[in-house]
Amino acid sequence: MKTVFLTGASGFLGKYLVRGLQAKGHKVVALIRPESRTKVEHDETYGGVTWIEGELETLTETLTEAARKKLEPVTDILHSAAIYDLALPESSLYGANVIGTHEMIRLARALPNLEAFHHISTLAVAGNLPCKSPHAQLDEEQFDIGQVLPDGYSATKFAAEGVLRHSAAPYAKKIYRLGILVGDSQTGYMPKTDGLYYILRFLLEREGLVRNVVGRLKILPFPFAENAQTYLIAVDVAAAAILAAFDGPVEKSVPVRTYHIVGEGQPVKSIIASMMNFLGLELKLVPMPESKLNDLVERVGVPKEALAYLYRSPKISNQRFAHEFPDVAMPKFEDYADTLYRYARENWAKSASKGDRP
Amino acid sequence: MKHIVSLSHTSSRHNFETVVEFRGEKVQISHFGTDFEPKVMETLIKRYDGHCDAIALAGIHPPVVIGRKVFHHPDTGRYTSMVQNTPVVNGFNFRTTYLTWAIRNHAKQNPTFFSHKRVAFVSGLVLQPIVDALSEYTDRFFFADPLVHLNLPFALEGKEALTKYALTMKAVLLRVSLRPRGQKLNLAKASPTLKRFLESDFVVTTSTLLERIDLGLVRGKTVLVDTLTPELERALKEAGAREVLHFMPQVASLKTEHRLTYPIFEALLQVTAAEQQPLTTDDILDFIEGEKLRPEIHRLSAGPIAGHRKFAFVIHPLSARDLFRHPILRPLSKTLSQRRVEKGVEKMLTVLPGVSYGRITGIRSESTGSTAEGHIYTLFDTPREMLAQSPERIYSKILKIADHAAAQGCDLMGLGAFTKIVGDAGLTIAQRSPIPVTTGNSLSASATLWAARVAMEKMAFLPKYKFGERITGSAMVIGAAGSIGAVSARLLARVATRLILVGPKPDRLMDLKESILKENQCEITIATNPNKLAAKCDLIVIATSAIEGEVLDLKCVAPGAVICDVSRPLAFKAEQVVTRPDVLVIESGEVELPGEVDLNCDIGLEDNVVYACLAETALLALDGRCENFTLSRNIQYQKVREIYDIARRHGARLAEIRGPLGLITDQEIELCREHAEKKRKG
Repeated sequence: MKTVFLTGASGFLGKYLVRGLQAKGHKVVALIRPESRTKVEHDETYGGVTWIEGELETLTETLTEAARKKLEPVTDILHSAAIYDLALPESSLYGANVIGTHEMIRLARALPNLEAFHHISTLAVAGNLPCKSPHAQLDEEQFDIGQVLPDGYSATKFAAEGVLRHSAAPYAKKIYRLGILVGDSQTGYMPKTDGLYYILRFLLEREGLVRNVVGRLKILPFPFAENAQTYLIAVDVAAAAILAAFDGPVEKSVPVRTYHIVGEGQPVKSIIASMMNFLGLELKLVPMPESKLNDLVERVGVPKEALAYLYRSPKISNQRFAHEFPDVAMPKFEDYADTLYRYARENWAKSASKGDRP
Repeated sequence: MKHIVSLSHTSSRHNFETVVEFRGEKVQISHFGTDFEPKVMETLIKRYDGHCDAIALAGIHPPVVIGRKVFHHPDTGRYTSMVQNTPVVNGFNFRTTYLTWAIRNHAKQNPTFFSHKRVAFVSGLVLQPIVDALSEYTDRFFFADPLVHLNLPFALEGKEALTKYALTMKAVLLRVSLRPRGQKLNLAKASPTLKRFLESDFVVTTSTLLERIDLGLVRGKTVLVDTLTPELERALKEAGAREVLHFMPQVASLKTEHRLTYPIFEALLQVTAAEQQPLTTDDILDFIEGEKLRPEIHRLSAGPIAGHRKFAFVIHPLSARDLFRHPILRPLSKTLSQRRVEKGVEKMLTVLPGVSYGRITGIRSESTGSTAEGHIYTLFDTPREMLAQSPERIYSKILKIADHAAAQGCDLMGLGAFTKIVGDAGLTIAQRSPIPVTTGNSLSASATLWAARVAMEKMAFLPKYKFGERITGSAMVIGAAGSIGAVSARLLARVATRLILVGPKPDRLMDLKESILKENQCEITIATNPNKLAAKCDLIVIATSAIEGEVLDLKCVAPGAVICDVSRPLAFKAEQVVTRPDVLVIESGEVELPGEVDLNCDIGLEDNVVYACLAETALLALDGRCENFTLSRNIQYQKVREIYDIARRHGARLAEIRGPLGLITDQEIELCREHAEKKRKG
């Protein structure tokens, strides 16, 4: 049994992590912002959690004596707190994502029983891979390969992963780079809109119109690149994979172990086609090149950052993870896509009609 | 535990968290890059102000000193004043103190490293301490400030141009941010000034500035950078940089793999100081001395990288007749070279300034592949006229040539024939010239003795020289007090048992004799007239620059002797030499340069063969040794050896031995030997 200090427990992924950790018999100590306390108090998922109130960014200076006592038995840190928003500038993300990680590393120095620091990173750190080579890809062993980090989110997550990697420490470090999280593969549960959900949402909000107008078309020009692909992963699948690696062996000789928490890459074209299918449309999709026209999508509530993913074709392999944990199932996106779409239609169509977003 | 927070303007890719032990105290260091986002910087300052022991601001613009004024970038002041409850340091003092010290230290250990080199600063304003420190060794600076800061496609030449630029543009410059642009500045479409910038020997930059500029710039160069990360080293290597000299202080006692910047060092000194007082330069110097900080040099390219250099060489006609070798005067040679008018013409032409005469191209080192190209200039003064005029007049003519050559991109100027004899033998010229100057006397001396040795061996009257042994025989040096004469005497004193020094001023020869005897066991005789003793000599070196009168009476020379005539103009005319077929007269001092040398003007020699003094200039250019190599009349024995090594390394050869009648072939030597044997018997 491990005692785990978890950050980001009240978040989307955090909830699944708490559930998984406790199911495996680990003791969870979690950081919570005082104002978020009410959010978790009545949720039975968080039943056995020991809470520490505090702000991540000022953690080392604001911890009370009582909190330090609670942290003393901690053997593992699972740092999952971060702000995920592609549209925010770097300055809004830097505090939570970068300063937060620095603070966790400083805190880790004071934990006498710490054995491993687990850090939730993202495949966004692959950025725009240098495209000179057609085989450009980011392996689990690689980190800084000169990639361009196009937005504040990838830049801050890159800096956060970097500082952990490069800090000399007596404990083991494990880094989990996640693909783009989508809803629960069983229930479709998704508390917020991001990434491809913006497009889905856009289509769902105008379902009637889309059917009537687009349904008459044989071909549909759509903003994406023919060879673009993306790595989506259901939140429950991701949490299960992380926890499998979390409990995996700790090799002291390897200072940093990185796992890519992804399945196979999905062609963007097939994802859009599956959305269209869900709406009952059979169309030939014609890629529209990336242009200034795409900026117009912001007028209809789709941030242009969400469209950027429709043009990228990163190559990501999860060789190491698949090799070490062959038993962890990675269901394919198309197997549960309809579950996600159905959840979105049921839960968002209503709120959308009221004009506010979940 | 004390906590230092380092906030840098630059990329957040190199953030780190570490604990170091410094002066017996453990100190936490948190380093944040802000990706050039002022708002991120503000967030961080707000977060840590009052919650740590020192804030180190890094990557902000250093102040620029112009004359007595100091200009600060507004950001520097803004960020500094935002920190209110914590001591704040910026590393400027440490940086200036350390860089100045490091460069001086490096120059002390490698005396020729910086001297007279062309130095390209990616930004002179950002790197001002290095500009100032290097000013002691060279003044050939190029600055790409207009390109880097304002995207204007030209470079500045010289420190004054930079000052002028800074003063004119200060209003704009104080608002320019150093944020990297998406696209790297392309230097391919270079203006003439940028081309000269690109032809430099050194590139001085910071790692941040290098991110903004096309790396092709560093090809074949020595790069000076503040910090060297493994990634940067790899990138520089790929771009073909020759070597990199980096200044980041390496403190052995601070066991950390992170790069500690100047502000962090300052912060460390600040938080561990006994008293809470601002740091002084003395504290920093104590630290530098105590830790024995040194800049480090890394060779990046495995083999030598071929470079190309230009040099200038000044000649003049050796006689009135030579005046008409110049293409402009050649058509007049028939009418003007009449005996009657010759003298008048000779005098008249001294009013002319030096002019470009031709080019020597295709000189290529056999070992490094480096190439060199010479611009040959000529004066119109004959030796007689040259010595008659005031030295100042000749200096000014030569200096005008030097200015022109420097503008043409020449790195070195050689003084041919009598131009190196005038006045103080190059010292004044070197002092005033924009480029280094050499007289070429080291190689002249070297080649003389090289030729003499070969000739002596071929004549075979004396036993073959074995290293470390002396040959029982006599050698005479006429004009031993002169620069080549003295070195010849020193070298001959090592191999011959008896040495005769001849010169018009016996007092000078006494000094020479004494200094030779300190190092050698050799019988030395001093004479003012060579003729009496000439009969006993096996080798006679004539190194005088007397113009009038007979140097040596050929009749007095023993049969089978070798005469090595280094004087210019020659001591013997062809018709004199034929009277003694039993004596071998060689006019040594000609060297064959490596490569397919093409000389497009007439300097009185053939093929690849050039005067030794020209060869010395060319070889120094090939070797990248653009410095005042040989100056004054006192040439040094070490230099003579060194230039011989350089010559051998690059593949220069001793030209076939030459006499006043032209090439001396092996058959001619054999014939001479037969004549001599006959005469010795009879």
